[in-house]
Amino acid sequence: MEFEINFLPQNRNRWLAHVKGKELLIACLVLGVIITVSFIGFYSKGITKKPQKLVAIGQDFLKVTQEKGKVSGVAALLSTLKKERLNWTEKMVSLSDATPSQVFLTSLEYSKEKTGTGGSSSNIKKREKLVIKGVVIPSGEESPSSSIQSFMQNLKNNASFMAGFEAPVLISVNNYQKEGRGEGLEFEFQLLRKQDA
Amino acid sequence: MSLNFNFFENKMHNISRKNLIAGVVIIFIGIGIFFSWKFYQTHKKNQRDLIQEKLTYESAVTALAKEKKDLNTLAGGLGINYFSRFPESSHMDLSFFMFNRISTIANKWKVSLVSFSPAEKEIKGNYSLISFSGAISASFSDMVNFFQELEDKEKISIDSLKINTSSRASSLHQAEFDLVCLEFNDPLLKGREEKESDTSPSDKEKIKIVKRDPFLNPFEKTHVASPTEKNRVDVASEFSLTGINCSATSRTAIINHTMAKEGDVIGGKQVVAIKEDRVILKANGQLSTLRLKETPRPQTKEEKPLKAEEVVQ
Repeated sequence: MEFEINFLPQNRNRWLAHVKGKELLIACLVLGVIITVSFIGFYSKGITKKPQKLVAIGQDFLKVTQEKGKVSGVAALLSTLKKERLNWTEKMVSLSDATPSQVFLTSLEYSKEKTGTGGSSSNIKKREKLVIKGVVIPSGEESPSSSIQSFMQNLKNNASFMAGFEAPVLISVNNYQKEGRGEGLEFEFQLLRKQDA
Repeated sequence: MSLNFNFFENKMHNISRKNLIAGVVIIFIGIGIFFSWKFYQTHKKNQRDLIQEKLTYESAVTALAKEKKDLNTLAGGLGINYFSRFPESSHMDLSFFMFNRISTIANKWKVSLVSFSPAEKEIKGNYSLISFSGAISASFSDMVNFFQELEDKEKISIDSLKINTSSRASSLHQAEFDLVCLEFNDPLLKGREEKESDTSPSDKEKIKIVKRDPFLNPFEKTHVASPTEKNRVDVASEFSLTGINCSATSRTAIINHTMAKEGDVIGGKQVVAIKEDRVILKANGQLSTLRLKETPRPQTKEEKPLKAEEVVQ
């Protein structure tokens, strides 16, 4: 079989003259394959592309996620600030409940104290502590030292007072003497602020 | 240009036209079915993805709304942007505004505001801490109620606290405190403001009852301060406010038998403001109140001098 394709302008009507059925079929086949491939190529691009709606939702989702991240960040900061805050009203009421009748306080001080090792400022940390000073006047059967113990224990058992604080630690106990009142004890104890609070 | 094709001559020789057409049709149908199936699968997958993404997006929006609500609750609990609650504070000196505010609360609870120091602002990233320090003199129960109003209603944080008993047995104690207000510059919280009226009426009326004053020596004969004594603690004793004249245009106070207007200096103290019942003085950066009069009030439970026998019991 032989066929001739001549693209010269003067022969343009001549090249199809010798084409028979079989050759036409092959030509159609080749043409069909080309058309099919183009068609598939065109459509495959269309079907693999994400629909616009999906893309829009994806973008909105991204925005929401970013905003959520910001909100979470601020919420975490506020939570930390809330944790750092102590409710002094509750603590004062609890203190009133926990103080034994023969004990009275002379001072209560909550402040920041610089603690740390070494001379460098990076090692120095500020740690809050509550210092309570008071006096025990002996009365009844309970000894003054037991009164201090029970006072500290009362505070330790009081959840609202202890919120944010470590257990009370006795710092000093001294004799306290006042005219006509016999001997008492002067005490001082402190509660350190919890590190994670 | 001329091309010659003759490579089909032997290979295609035995294929009949029918078979060839059938083969071509089958191939086309096969390709069509394959890609139609692929298209269907992709379409289904996209639909599933769309539904999934919609669900994820909706749950993210719900979660965001919840987080925002929680954030508002948290911010409300912390009383952030305190000054934005009071429009008048925007054109006032913060220290002066705060002094007035604290002074009003102190008056309400019969607490004497001994001193009040100007604001210090500390900027920390996207928020600022505005702190004030002050000192009060009051009975333990009044002190508790004063602090409760600051903490629960005003949502002001008490950063440091020092309570001391007076040298002699007295129902009055001195408390020094640092107050901290939070101001947020974050766009998420900047517009957030808590109206004063948001506070429920029950909160306004809540009064803390304390069983006993832990700072009171139960064995000493307690000296209960009289209202006139309270006034003495309140203000420097060398000043006496005997009258306030209010007119539509100006206010004049009579301090130490001398007429004084706002801005005048009397005895080294500047008259900062003249109110209906009190005068605010400033000296060395500290504000103090000079009250015209104070109505005597009944004693609170803990102010009653405790008898030794009662305590023992």
